[in-house]
Parts: sequence; structure tokens; C-alpha cells
Amino acid sequence: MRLTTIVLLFTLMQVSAATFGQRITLNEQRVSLKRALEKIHNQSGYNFLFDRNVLKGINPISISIENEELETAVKKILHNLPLTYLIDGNTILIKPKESSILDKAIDKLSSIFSDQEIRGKVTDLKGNPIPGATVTVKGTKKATATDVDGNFKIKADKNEILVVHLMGFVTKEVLVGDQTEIMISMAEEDKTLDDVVVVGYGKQKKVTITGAVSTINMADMQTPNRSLSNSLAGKVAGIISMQRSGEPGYDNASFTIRGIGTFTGNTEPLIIIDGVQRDDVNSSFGGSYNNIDPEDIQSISLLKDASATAVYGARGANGVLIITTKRGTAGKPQISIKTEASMSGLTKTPKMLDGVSWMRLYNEANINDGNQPVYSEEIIQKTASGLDPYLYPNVNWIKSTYKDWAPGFNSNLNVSGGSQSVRYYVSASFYNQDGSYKVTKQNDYSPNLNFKRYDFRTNLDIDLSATTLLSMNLDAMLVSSRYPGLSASKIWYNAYLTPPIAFPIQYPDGSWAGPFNNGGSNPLNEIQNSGYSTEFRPTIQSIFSINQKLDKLTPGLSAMARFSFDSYSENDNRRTGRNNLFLASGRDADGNLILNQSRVGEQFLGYSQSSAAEKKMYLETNVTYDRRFGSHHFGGLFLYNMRSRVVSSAGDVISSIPYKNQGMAVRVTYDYADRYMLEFDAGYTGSENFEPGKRFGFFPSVSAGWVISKEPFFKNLSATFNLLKIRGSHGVVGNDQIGFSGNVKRFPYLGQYGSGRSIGLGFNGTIFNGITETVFGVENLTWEKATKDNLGIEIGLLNKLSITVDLYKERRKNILIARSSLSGILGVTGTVFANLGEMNNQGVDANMEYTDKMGNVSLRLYGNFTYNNNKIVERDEPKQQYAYQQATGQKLGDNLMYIAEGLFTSTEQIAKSPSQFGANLKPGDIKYTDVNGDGVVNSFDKVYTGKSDVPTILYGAGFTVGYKGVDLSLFFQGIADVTFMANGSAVTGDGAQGAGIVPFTGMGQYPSGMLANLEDRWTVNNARQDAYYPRLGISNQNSNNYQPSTWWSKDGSFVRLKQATLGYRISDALLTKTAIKSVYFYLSGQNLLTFSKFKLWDPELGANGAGYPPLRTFALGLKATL
Amino acid sequence: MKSIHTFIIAAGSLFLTCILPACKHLDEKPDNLLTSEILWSNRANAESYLYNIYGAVLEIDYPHIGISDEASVSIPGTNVRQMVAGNWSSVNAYYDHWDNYYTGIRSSFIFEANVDKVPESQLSTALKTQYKAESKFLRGWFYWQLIKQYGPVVKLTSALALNDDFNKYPRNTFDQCKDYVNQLMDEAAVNLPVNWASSSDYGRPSKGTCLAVKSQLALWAASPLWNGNPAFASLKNQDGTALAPSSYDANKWKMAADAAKAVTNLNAFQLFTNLDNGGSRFDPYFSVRDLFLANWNREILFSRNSWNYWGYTKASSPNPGGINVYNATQNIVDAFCMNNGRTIDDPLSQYKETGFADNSGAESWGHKKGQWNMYANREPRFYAYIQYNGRPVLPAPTVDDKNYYSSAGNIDGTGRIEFYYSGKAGAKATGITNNITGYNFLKNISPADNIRQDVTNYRPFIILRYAEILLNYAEALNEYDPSNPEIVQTLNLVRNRAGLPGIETVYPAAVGNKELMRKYILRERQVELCFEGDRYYTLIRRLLLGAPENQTIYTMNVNEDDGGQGFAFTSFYKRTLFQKRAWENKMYLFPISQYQLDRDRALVQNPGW
Repeated sequence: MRLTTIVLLFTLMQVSAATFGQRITLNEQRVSLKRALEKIHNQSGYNFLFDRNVLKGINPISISIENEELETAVKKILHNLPLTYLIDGNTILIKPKESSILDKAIDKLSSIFSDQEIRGKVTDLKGNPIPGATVTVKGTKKATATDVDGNFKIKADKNEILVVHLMGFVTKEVLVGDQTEIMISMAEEDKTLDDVVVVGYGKQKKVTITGAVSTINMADMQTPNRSLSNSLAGKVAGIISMQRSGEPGYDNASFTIRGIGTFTGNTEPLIIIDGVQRDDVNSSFGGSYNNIDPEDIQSISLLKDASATAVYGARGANGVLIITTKRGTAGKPQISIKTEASMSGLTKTPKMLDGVSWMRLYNEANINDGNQPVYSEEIIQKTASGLDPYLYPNVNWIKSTYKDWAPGFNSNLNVSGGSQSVRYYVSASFYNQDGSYKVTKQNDYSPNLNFKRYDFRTNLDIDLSATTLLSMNLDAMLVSSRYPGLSASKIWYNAYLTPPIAFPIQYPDGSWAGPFNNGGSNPLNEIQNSGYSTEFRPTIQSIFSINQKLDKLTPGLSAMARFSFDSYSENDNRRTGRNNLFLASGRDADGNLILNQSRVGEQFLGYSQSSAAEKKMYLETNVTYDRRFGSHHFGGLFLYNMRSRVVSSAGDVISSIPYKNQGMAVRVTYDYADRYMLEFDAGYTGSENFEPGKRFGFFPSVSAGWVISKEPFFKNLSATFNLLKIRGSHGVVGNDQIGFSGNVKRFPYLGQYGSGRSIGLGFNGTIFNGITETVFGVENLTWEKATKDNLGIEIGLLNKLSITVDLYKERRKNILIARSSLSGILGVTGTVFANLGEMNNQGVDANMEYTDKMGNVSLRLYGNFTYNNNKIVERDEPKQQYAYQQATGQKLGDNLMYIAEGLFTSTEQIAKSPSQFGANLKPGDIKYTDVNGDGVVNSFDKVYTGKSDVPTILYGAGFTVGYKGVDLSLFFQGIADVTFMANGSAVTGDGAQGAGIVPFTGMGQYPSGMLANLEDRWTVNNARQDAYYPRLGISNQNSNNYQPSTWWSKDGSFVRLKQATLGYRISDALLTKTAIKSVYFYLSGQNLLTFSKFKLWDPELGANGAGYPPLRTFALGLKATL
Repeated sequence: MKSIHTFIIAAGSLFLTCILPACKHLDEKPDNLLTSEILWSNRANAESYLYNIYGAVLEIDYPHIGISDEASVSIPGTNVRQMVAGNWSSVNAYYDHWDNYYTGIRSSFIFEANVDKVPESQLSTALKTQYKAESKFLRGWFYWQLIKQYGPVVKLTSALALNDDFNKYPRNTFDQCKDYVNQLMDEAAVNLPVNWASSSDYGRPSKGTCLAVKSQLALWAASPLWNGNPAFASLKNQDGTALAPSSYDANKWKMAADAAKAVTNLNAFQLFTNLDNGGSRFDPYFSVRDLFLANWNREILFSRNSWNYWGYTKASSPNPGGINVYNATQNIVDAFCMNNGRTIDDPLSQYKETGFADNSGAESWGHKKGQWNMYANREPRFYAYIQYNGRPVLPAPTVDDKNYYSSAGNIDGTGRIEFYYSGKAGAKATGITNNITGYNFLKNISPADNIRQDVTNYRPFIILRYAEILLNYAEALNEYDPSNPEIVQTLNLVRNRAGLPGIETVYPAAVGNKELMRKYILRERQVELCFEGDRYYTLIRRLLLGAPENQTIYTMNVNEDDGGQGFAFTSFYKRTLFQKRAWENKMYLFPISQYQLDRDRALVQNPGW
């Protein structure tokens, strides 16, 4: 410890020295520090060494010392000053308090000379011990943590102050004094006021947040769902979520935050996990964030307005979802176990027509069309009798293809704890779900779907020193699954398409039935015998970060650097093939079936594979500042980051170029006494996608808040209103993710050439490939800009009820669109881009929560509501001939349709009406409105109706009621103001559009199977206007009755009992003698009930009824902590 | 304990190391990519640009597959079926090739404006001239196709710019468009050889191709559709400019005849016979069949030397090897002559519609004993172009392949096609919603192929051949000079190659009789050029497509259950009304799609749409 060297570093001023006594008496009011030290020097003869700068900014002090020892006197003088001292011989060095080796020396010295060991116990207000609380000696580096019983030991001088800190409790300071045994009781934080919320690049006290930020109660996310996005639906205001498929592994909900702001580019929110952008990790598979076990999540924040998202600059326009995983706290290992076994079935499978009804209705349709009936009464009777199911089959393909229940299992084990300098959270989880196909293991393989997920997570925090924190997150995930040889959508389509009377499933000799020449398919055979594919998708996500407190530069300052790499791959091995099929043509003289081979299969399954991989690198450095000056509180953030993403399996040069972003962000916050808040946020971000000089954009926002309930004049009301706060924000955020949908390509500023059409030349037609413009380079392209406004109010009543309501408005400009007003005579082949699009989006979202406890009964009631609507302002649309057909000014997703006036009632009416589709209209066919009055119903008569398949209203509500150890919770979720076109146009596959819905459509060998609902039809003898189906005929999408029209536009609103849980917690009394801290059993259900006006299929599937519906799951679970 | 300092320094320097190279972080742009400068500095790229223009030349299209009376498509949902059902408008404008041809037109301008930039060292001036001539030919071809489909269109003489006001481009008149195509053909012909010397150039247009297009166009302009058609009097631009010629001009037939004669006068083309293909004895069947299967022949005026013959063969062939999609109608079957050169409605023709044939035909490719009499002793082209019930499958080389087409009881190694109800290609197996006619195409189908195994062999797709020019000449000449002996001579060239006696020997009354001769010429055209897209356009330009007989489609009685009788089931051969197609006279022209009308407000729609 070469003190001299250090001393020489300072500019010294020596005070004249003399030898005097060691006792000091000093009484001064408002004297400068320098003067006070001079007086001590005069009394003691000790020299003081200090840098002039050290004394700058130190206010005059008042001292009252009576005959104290020199060192005590110095201490008292420096108390509450940002200064400390060091005595060496008869020299006293005065220096700023700082974390350095000098501190250590002081600590060492003072501990040698004066410290005593203090023992203490930390409890809550009821006297229960609090483990894991941090106890520090104020102004020193000395720290310890309480053990399981709340006990701690620490060395401290009696003049020092102990600071006890634990998340969730009010930090407590206690003067040591003469005590050596200290009992410290801590009060729980008033959550509504002191909750800390994760925001963009940091945390903020909830009460002082000025932006629109919602958090999700993690207790509500404990579901047996595989996919996180799926569990989010209805849990918080502002999320617009629809689950379009329940197929395990592909069951992610598509969701947006506050609706859809742009009509071409990416609309999905930015996903941040532990500070790192991860929305595109495994994005082709819905994003790896969907695979995080909710048990591992500490918090989820939803950033909705410009204030909250401006720091993300050109990535923030669609909102941001921040997921923070759990971290360890010091203490003995805490072990949590969760394990669940479940049974899943499909929420709703459509009812199909049986063979007999199918044939009768098919005959009716033929007769209606003026044809002869096809099936004789004899055949119908033979089918109805069921005596020869091989020649006269009658198969319910959906029931033969899907089973009622499939098992699932999932489990999570996590351990957290650590010492005071190293803390850990490690977890392992496993998820297993079987598919609902009615298949078995045959030919040495089982084709049934099986989804398995392994997820290991390690979050480490290491205090390298009291001011340096090193953190490391390592997350290794593996999805390993098996799927049948053809896709779920194909299986569903086949099950719809195949008529019940086509062929049986199998013949008695075990051979499989099927048509000639691929003229249709046997759905069960296709799943059972088409092979399988195994897929595995490993993901590694890592973060390494260092956080350095820089209080010695200026208190409240800290810096942090974070580096992250993520890598994932998708690997599929497919074994697919076809088997022999047979079709019976009759019976021979002996009554044996005559089987004709209709397909020659392959002896062995074929093999193919595919794989893809991506890596992401992210680097961030930031400096933050947070300091209180009395009632003034300042905060600041300056951040720099860069990111690059590379797709290994890009497939073309343009996509193989790394996707790069770079940005800076600034945040300045100020609040006065938690009462008046002002915040400025800005992002300056750049993207490689634009031409040099146009790459960077600046995205600022301002926001302010006022906590009225903290005003003195509000005091009288504060017993009722524990919180009343209003806040508002205005700002601009961007979206550079314009390359996601359709044919929008990267680098649109560059003219790009790619392979065009080809020609054969010469005697053998040698092919010569052509090249053509694929992108027509256009200058001055830039990102989308979203101007967002938000006005929010937060109300807390009686400490029990809290309500938050936000009004918001967004105007998205510069939407990069492919030009659509260019005439065909221009003859450009490639896409031509322009920043021409504009869209408005606005709405309201609100959250409500009520908690209460009455004796042994606890109650929590919660709900949320989102209303969102949008309008396309500009989309480079040519002026339509009829103004009502202009898409500009309409809602996104609003489709043109005809207005159905009802069904024709007479041939006279048809003769008098404008001509429609097809020449053979008859009573019972849909009559459409001739909107433009030109005497013909054609596509000029389609109108917009203001309805869309994206809901404008979403809500969720639930409650939890507990009595002693038992609790019951129910959660309902719903959407409203949503429609879809149920004319079958969304049911597509290899064959006919509209299979199952459009009567007897079909392209292969057979007319389509039909929904049982076809019975509900108009007939000559029962000419009902309210029939579901108009007059039957052999139809397709071009037929009069299946044009998109208000007839088929169906209300897609629904309310679901999304979750129900009944749980029992074993009372602590029973567990006291065991090592187990708590045990909780529960029975939970998912998607138990659905209430909807639409009855044919699960309404969440929307227009595509032939889809894998969401799962209905019952799970039995156990949670324990050790 | 220096760690703190170390970390401060580390963090600080990390911060700096991030910022410093950061300036270049986004300097990411596709290096080494094709730009327009590179494109025109390199021969291979410039040639590829030209090949892409060729890509806009279309192959099998609506006229080939069932928009006229010669064919039908079995799948009701397909576009041609929708069109013949009348489900057709400017909004669902099927086969709307407008964009396709205008992209080709734009590319041709860009090619001609830039190809001279390629250094002489890489691409000689001579080749540049040739390529520009090809590009001009292609532009002319695209305009010609647009004229056939839509009537007069917007004539462009250079590439438009992105920021042009497209609303100021009205349609040009029919004559302006026609003159433009002729001008382009003339310009191209100057720099193209009469015929290509090197086989590696087969597939490029020649001088002969240019003149042949002029012949087609001249016949088109002379025909009633555009020669003073009163129905087009209303076809006017917004400023009142009439787009169609208002009065009939008989001289246009002479121009049409001269234009066809100009091709003949090149003396570079001739009708293919099997002798050209190594045959030792002239055989009309192999001549008319192999004309399409040889890699190249002197009858070809324009071809596309890459096309999806697999898809065509699959769709044209019967089940179970094929998929039975392209069906010939009874109407075209009835148009084929007997092998004595007489039409079947001629009492002298010896045509019988009932009963089974007692004997096989004289030639190996003729009918077989036991086949229906309707198919007996027909002209060679019938056997080359029509797959009928009981005729052995063609694209099946081995006995095993042939047997694949036969039900258990019919296996005899010949692969007789079973179009009857319960047969392997019958309605039951192929689906009762599918309306097959009982016939498939055999034209352009190769015996070397094996469609069951999806094996096909190379052949060019012939877009324009010399036989058509001969028929053009005969037709035009007959209109303005019916007594000209060249009519009979020219028509007989086609008839003789098909194995038929001269028209003057079978129907002497037609000689010099304009109306009668016209009927035989058009019938010859119907048979000779069947399934080649010509029938539809002949009926269009002759204003005959709307005639009820051409809209009423007959088939065999394919949907009646034969009750296991198979080939013996005589009810199968009952002529059955299949369709009375929806027709409105507006259909003589395609509608200009609403999409295009919305984007160029100066365009006027075709009458009636």
C-alpha cells in the first residue's frame, strides 16, 4: 500500500502543523469544511491532506463536538458528506467516498480499530423471519445476507448505520449504537406505489411511469399450454391475439399489440428476452420465446405507446413485449417442482353428413340442377343397412381420423439460491404432448404426432466487487418432435373432402382402400401409411453482461455492457412414401370381394431432409444515471447497440446478407416527489436495408404524468383514492421490418436482377435461362414512421381496486408498399416500391383488478378490455370506378362482398331481377343487391361492410377465490366485432376450394364430403328464408350461391372458459416436520367451454373450418417447494 | 483488487470499440450482384435478357384445350369450363395475358436500347443486329397475340417511365396496330435468315416466321370479324376515334392471299412426311403423327423448343396412366372424313354409326375388328389424333404398360382404352362429377413416352406450321378469285399428305363454287389443325363461334352404367348432349380486365363487356 504515491497524485495544500492534545472540542454554525478542519488541525496538530476539488460543492456545516477523540470528531464532521478520511501517522487524508482499494484500506483499518460484531435478526411485521435480506453497513462495502432464520452477523461501528434491503420490502436503516443484538422488522412495500416495472432497457418505479406499460400477472400464465403467446390471450389489455391452429408445435397464437398499424410490413411486436431482441429466434417456428416455461419467467411487460417504445427506434412501432426470466437470491437452495399430466382433445370437431344423408342430398342437388339423381334408392338402402360396408361404405372420416383424448406431460424443476457474491437460478423443464390422430404403430413406425421440448436455463449473477456485477444467462432448448408424413392442414382438408361413401377405410384382409390415380384420398390411410418426419430444433441463447456502478464518478451512475449470441437450427428428416391401395369393384360368384389395386405403393419409405440455421449477435453498452436530490429525482440512460442476424439457409444471395441494425437510445426522466413526472425518450436507429445516407432515423417522444393523489389538497380523499394518476405521451417510432410479407424484398433501393423465364433452342431444345428485373430500384426509400399518442389514467381505490384506462391513437406513414397503381402497359416485371402507405389505428384498453380478504376467504377479481380499430388512409390504389369499392378509407381485412337480400321466392321475381351468376337461377338461390343499378349483379356490386376477421374488441375476465388451502379460479376470454366469410373460400387444398362447405364441390374423383349442417337447407317443400344453406346444387366458388356475400359473412364472436383451476395447498402445519415448504395440488382445464353464435367449427379458426382446432386440456398438477 | 479498475477500463473500451467500427456496421449491401451496368457489359447477360423476352411466348392455352367445339376439359372448375359456362367478366378475366405481353414488349424496348452497349469484343455487330431483329419479331408477335385476344390495344414505341401518366394512353386503332405488327415483321425479316442454317438456332424466328405472321394477320384483317363488322361500330375511344375499320374491303382477301403466297415463295418450307423421318414408303398416318414428334422438320415456321410435354401428355391421356383432362368432343370426331375422302354426312361415304366392325382396317394403324363402326375406315388423321373407346393406348411402350390400362377381363397386351362407365378410364373410376366425353387427344402424343411412368421425350411445341399457311392461302384466294386453280392445288397438298384424294375428285362441285369450297377449306382446317388452337380463332374471325351448332357439344354416353358389359355395351355409343354452351356475341373479344381499365383511364372496354 504505497500511500505516498497516491498522495502525490493530488494537488496538495498543507496546513501548518503543530503538536497538541488529541481531544477536540468544536462548536461552529455554518462554517466551511476547510475552516472546520483548520480548527481541528490547530487543536490536534494533525495535518490534513486534500485536493481542493474535493471540497468544491460542499455546503457549510454545523458542528457540535465536546471533548471527543480526534477520529470521532473527524467522523462527525464528515458524516453525511460524500467524503471519507484516512489517518497515517499524524496526517489525515480527506478524499471522496469511493469504491477503491483505499476504501478497502479504510475498512480494514477501521475494522481493526473500532468495529464490533453485531448479531441481528430480520423479521416481517408479524415476526416471521425473513431469509435472504441483504444487510449492509451504510457507506461501506460491508455486506451480508440473512440466513433461513433471518439471522445475520456483521461487523460495524456503533456510529454506523445498518441498511436492510429485500425486494418487496421497504428498505430499513438502523443506527447500530450500543446494540450488539439487533431485531429489525421490515414492512412490506406498498405494492401499488413501489412496484418496479421492467421497461425498455431498464426498470422504473411503477408510479412514476409516464408511458403505457402493462405487466402480466405471472400467476395467470400457469397453464399447460406449450406456447406462451397462446397463454397471453385475454390476460392483459392491448393484446390482439388469435390462435388459428391447435396442432402441437404449431399452435402459437398470432398476436399484435394494439392492433395492426401497417398493412404490408411486419405487424408483430418486438420480443425482448432478458434485454435482448429475440422475436426472430426460431421465427419460422413462431419464435423460441413461445417455448419458455412460464415457471421460469419473472415478469412480462407490454410496452404500448411511443414513450415506452421510442428507445427501440425503428423497431418499436409495433409495440414491445419484454420477458424477464427469474434470477437467484442469496440463501440456501430453494427447490421448486412442478409436474403436470394432461389429457387433450379438440375443442370442437365438425359434424359431417353420414353416407345416407349425403347421397340423398347429393341426389337432391342433382335434381335441382336439372340432372338425374345419381344414387338409386337401392344403393341408399344398402348403405343404410350397413350389411356390406365394403361395397357400400359409410365412413365418418373426421371421427375415424381424430381421437378424443391424447396424453401430455410437463414438468419443471428449478433451484435458486447462492451466497452473497454468487447467486444462481437453474431450471430444467420438459414438455411432452401427443397428437390427436387415431393411428397406431404399424410397419415399424408410429406416425402420430409427438411434441417434446427440453429447456435448460442457468441465470448466474456474480458480484465481482460491491460495485461490479457480472451476469450470465445460458439457455439451451431442444424441440424434438415427430409429425405424420403430411401436414395437419392437408389431413384436415382430406377429412373434409372425402365423402362418406367413397370407400371403406380398410378391407377385411387388412388392405387399405383408396381411389385410382390419386382421385381423392383415404384420410386415415394418408396419416397411417404416408410415413413420418422427425424434426429437431435446438436453440441456444446466451447473454453475458457486466454492470459497473460508477458512483465514484458521480453517485447514481452506472455502466453496463452486454453481449449476446443466439443460434438455432431446424432439422427435419422425413421418411415418406405411399402404400398399396385397393378398391373393390364388386363381389365374385363366391361372394368374395373383387379388389383392384388402385395404387402401387413403394416397398420402403423414401427419405428427404431439410435444415436451416440462424445466428444472432448482439452487443449493447449503456450508461445509466439515477439519483435523488431531496424530492427531485433524475434518471438517465444513454445506450448504444448493434445487432446482426445471419440466415445460413437463405437460399439466395440477397437473403444471405446479414441483417444488421445499429442504434442509440436516450432516456431522461425527472420526477418531483413521485408527483410530477416528465420523460424524454429517443432512439436513433439504423438499418442496412436502406441506401447510405437514408439508413438512420431519429425517433423522439415526450411524456408526462401527474400523481394527483400525492397532492396535499388531495389528502382528504386519499383514504378512498390511494392512487389517482394521469399521464400522456406523444412520439414517433419506426418500423424497418418491411421485408416480411408478400414480395417485399430487401434493398429495395437497388435495381435487382434475378432469374427470369427461359427458352429452349436447338435440335434438342437446350434450355437457356433468362434474367429479368426482380426489383425495380427506387431511390429515397425509408422506414415506416408511426406517430403515437397515448392518454392514460390510473386509479387505485381503497388499496383494493385498481383501474387503468388508456386511450391511444396512431398514424403510420411511409408504409413501404409495392406500387399498385402502375398500369400493365408499363410492363415492369419486378416489384416497384414506394413509401406511400398510410394507416390510422386507434383504440382504448383498460385493466381492472380487485383484491380483498375477508377472514379466511381471499378474492381476486380481474378483467381487461381492448378496443381497436384501424383505417387505411393511403395505399396507392387507383381510383375505382365506383367510390364504394375504394379500399382506401376502409378497415384492414375488410373484404368486398355482395349484399344478399335473401332467397329468391319465385321465377317471376328472378325474371324481374337483375341478372346474376349463372344462367339457371331458381327460387331458393341467393338474391343479391344490384348496388350500382346497372341491371347486372357483377363484381361492381360488391361493397365493404366494415367487418373484418381481425376482432376490434377483445376482453378477458376472471377471478380467484381462496378459502384456507383451497382455491378456485376461472378465466374467461372473448372477442367481439369480428366476422369471417364462411363460404368455403378459405378451405383450400390440393383439390377443390370450399371442400365440406360448398355443396359437393370437388376436383378429383369424388364430390366433397359435407358438414351435417347441409340438412339445414332451402327446399321446394320447405322454402325457408332462414335456412343455413340456399337451394342445393352441385356448386363451386363460382356458383351464384357461394359468392362472398353477407349471407356467408358470419359473426365470429365468442367467449371461452379459457382456464379453470381448482387447487389445494397442504397447510403449513402438516409440513413443519418435513423438509418440504409447500405442496399444492391442482386440477386445471383449458378451453372448457365456448359460447358462440357460430356452431359449425371452433370460431377461433375463422373462415378456415378445416383446421386443427385449439385443444381442450385437463391437467392434474402438483407444485412443491423444498 | 484491481478488478474494479480493470472492469471500468474494460467497459469503457468496450464502449469505444463498439462505437468506432460502428460507422461501417451497416455498410452491408449486396456485393458482386448483377446491376444494370454489369448486365449490358457482358454478352451472356445480354443474351439471357433476350431469352427472358422469349419466355413471354405462350404454349398450350385456352384455344387448345376446350374453348371451341373441338374439345372440353373434364374438370368443371377450370377456367375454360367457367368461360364456356358464361362465368366470365372483366373482373374475373381468365387467361388475361395483357401483363404478360406488355412485360415482353417493355423488355424488348430495353433490350434494343441497350444491347449495343455490350463490347464488340464480346458480341459482334452482326449478332447484335440479329438479336435486335429477334426482339422486334417478339414485340410484333406479342402485339399480334394481343390483337387476336383483345382487338386493338395501346401501341407503344418505347418503354414507358415509372412516373408517366398512364391515363393518357388510349387504345390505337385496329389498322394502326396491324400496321405496327407488319412494320416490326418487315424490320425483323430484313435481318433474319430465310431459314436457320445451324440446328442450334432452331426455335428462333426466321424470315419465314415473320412472313407467316404477316399472313396470319392479313387473313385476320380480311375476315368478317374486323372487315367492316357492324358490331364493332361502337368500339370507339373516348375522343370518338373509331377503333375498328367501318366498311368491308374485299381487297383485304387479296392482301391475305398475297401474304400467304409470300411465305410459299420463299421455297424454304414444305409439308412433313414420314419419308423425311427415314420412312421408306409414304404413310399418311405416320406423316401426320410424327410431324409433331420429330425433333425438327421443314414444316415448322415457329416453335417453342421447351414445353411441358409431360403435363400435356398426362392431361391428354386416359386413366389410369393419364388423368383424362383434355377431351375431344363428338363434334370434332364427326368432322374427320372417311378414308375415301368423303365427309360422314355424305351418303356415299359408307359411314355407319351402329354396330361393331366385322373386319380390321387395312393398315396396322387403322381400326380393329370389334371396334364400333363409327370408328371404322376413317381418314388417317382420325387415328393419329383421336383416342376413342377401345383404341389401344399410345404412350405405353411395353406390354406390361399396356395391360395397366385394361381391366382384368380385357388384358390382351394391347391396352385398349376403357371409356365405358365401369372401365379403367370410365366415369366410375374417374369420378362421376367429371364429364369426360369418351375421347382424348392423341395429337402430339408420342409412342416413345410412357405416361404411366411419367416418362416423356423431347419434341418442340409447334406454334405455327406451313400447313396453316397453305390453308390460309386457299381460303383467301377462294374469297376473291374462286376460280383460281391454285385453290385446289394448295388444298390438295394438305389433303394428300393426310392420305386423302384431291378435293376435285371427291367433291368436283366445290371447284369454283366459293361457298362450297369455303366449307371444305374450313373443314380441312378444322381437322388438320385440330387441338392446335386454330379452331377457336378460325370460328372467331369468321364470326362462327356463336353459331348454335358450334356451341352445342356432344359426347359419347359415358355416364350410363354398362353393368359389367364393357366394350360390348352398345349404349355407350349413343350420341349424348353434353353442353349447350353459354354464348354472347361480346365473347368474340376478350374483356380488357378491370384491373387494367382502373390503371389506364383512357382505355375503353370492348363492346358488351
